[in-house]
Amino acid sequence: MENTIKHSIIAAQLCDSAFPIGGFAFSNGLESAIEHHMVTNRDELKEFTRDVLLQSLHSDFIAALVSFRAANRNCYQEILYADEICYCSKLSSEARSMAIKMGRRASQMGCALFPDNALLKQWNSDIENSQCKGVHAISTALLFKAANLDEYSLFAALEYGTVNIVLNAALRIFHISHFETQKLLKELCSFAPNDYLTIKELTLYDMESFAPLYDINSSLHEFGERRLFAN
Amino acid sequence: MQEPPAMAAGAIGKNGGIELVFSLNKKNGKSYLSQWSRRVPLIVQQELYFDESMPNMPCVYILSSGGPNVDGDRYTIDLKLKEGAFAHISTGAATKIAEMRYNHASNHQNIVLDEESYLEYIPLPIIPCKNSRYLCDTHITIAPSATLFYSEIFCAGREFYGDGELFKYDLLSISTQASAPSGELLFREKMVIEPKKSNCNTIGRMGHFKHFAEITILTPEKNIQPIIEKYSPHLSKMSASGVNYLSDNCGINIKILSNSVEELKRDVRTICSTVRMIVKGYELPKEFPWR
Repeated sequence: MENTIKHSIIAAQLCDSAFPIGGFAFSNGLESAIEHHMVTNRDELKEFTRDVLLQSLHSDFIAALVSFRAANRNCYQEILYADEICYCSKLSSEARSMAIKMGRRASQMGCALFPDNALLKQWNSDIENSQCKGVHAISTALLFKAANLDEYSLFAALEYGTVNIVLNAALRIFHISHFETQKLLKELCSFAPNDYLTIKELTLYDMESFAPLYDINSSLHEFGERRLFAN
Repeated sequence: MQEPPAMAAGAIGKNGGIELVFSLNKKNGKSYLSQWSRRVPLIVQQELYFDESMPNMPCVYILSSGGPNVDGDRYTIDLKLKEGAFAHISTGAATKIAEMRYNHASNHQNIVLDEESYLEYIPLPIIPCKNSRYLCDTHITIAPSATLFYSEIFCAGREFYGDGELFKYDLLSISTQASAPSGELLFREKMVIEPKKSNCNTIGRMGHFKHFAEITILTPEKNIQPIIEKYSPHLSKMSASGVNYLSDNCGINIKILSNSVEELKRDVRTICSTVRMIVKGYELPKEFPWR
């Protein structure tokens, strides 16, 4: 019981939007989607957020699970490979920038929280010495490994975090209440068990993303003038 | 997946292949097809020099004697441009992916560009018919001073056949990755589209659009900004397009969505013309009226 409570608390801490890795500064291009009338109401916000989530599900989440399992087997080379694939698969420069900035902060926070963890130490050192990119998905996986959490917790945190980033941004730039965003958060995260089953056996080779309008929106956001957040 | 009962996957006649090597004749500045092999149903004939703005550039159309790609077809296309060579490659007609019941069709492409080489690879659109399954894997190895313009246009299906076959195919799996000659991965993109499993017309995917073009431009960093400056991302009811910088400034990726394939073809050629002007100093001539 004691361990379960401890694990639940550390999982809550790592998932908290107040966990200082900079997620609050990103919106996945929501303001461009609103400006170009792609998102005009609650249902469209839900669809947009789900599309953002599906993109991450079939790319970052696979890389995170692969890295988590590689960490269980002490296979560091596989973690580095997952990091490279994950970084090079991001077509938008802002998406790469977001992945790296959040990944580095997560790695630094990991070293502060788990100073005796050799894997996180090596990972952080490799990031600082430019031996790897240090994307967010992989840093999060290593952080959860260091916290002795299981891969279900990791997956839940990734799903929750991805949805929460968009909805938190929506609160600030869209006519929607806290009640509605919390209801949307619950609705969207209810897909998580099925989403996990969809990708649990996939490999790095299977990482893919089909979201051309999302990519175009990212481009409009990157080149646009009305921006509150990064992508 | 089952073997097609008529002819097994990859059997003779279903394992088409093309290997083309282009070299530069330094004496006269002419690029030429120095080596080529072909295996039916894919066909290439000798290179032609019909490009009026670059008369030294060999132009090759890849043809298929088998008509559409059918169940169990396994094609390979290997393209290599040696140092300083340049070429323009397209297909003779749109690539139709025929209806399938048992297996899938695939195309594996290897593109190697040596230093200072320049390739325009602009196949005509891919049209996946009802229940078809098609995989296209493209591996690019490119030297830092070379330039590649590679476009693909994917239609939603046969729009005017019967009641229309938009998004009625089973699977389109398109994977493109590029590496430096050292083996360092430059970028990787993979799209798996399964319209029967997952709605293609959501806000982040195709919206209300039917067809899309994907353009990969790999070029030295100095060319990237001039290309971007000639191009403006936009989103309207008629079409949408956006550009993204690829990692480590190795090039750019452009996506265009439209309900008109003709517009996509025009847009692709316009962008290719911009790239050619910046890299080679010449515009792309007008497309032949029959294409």
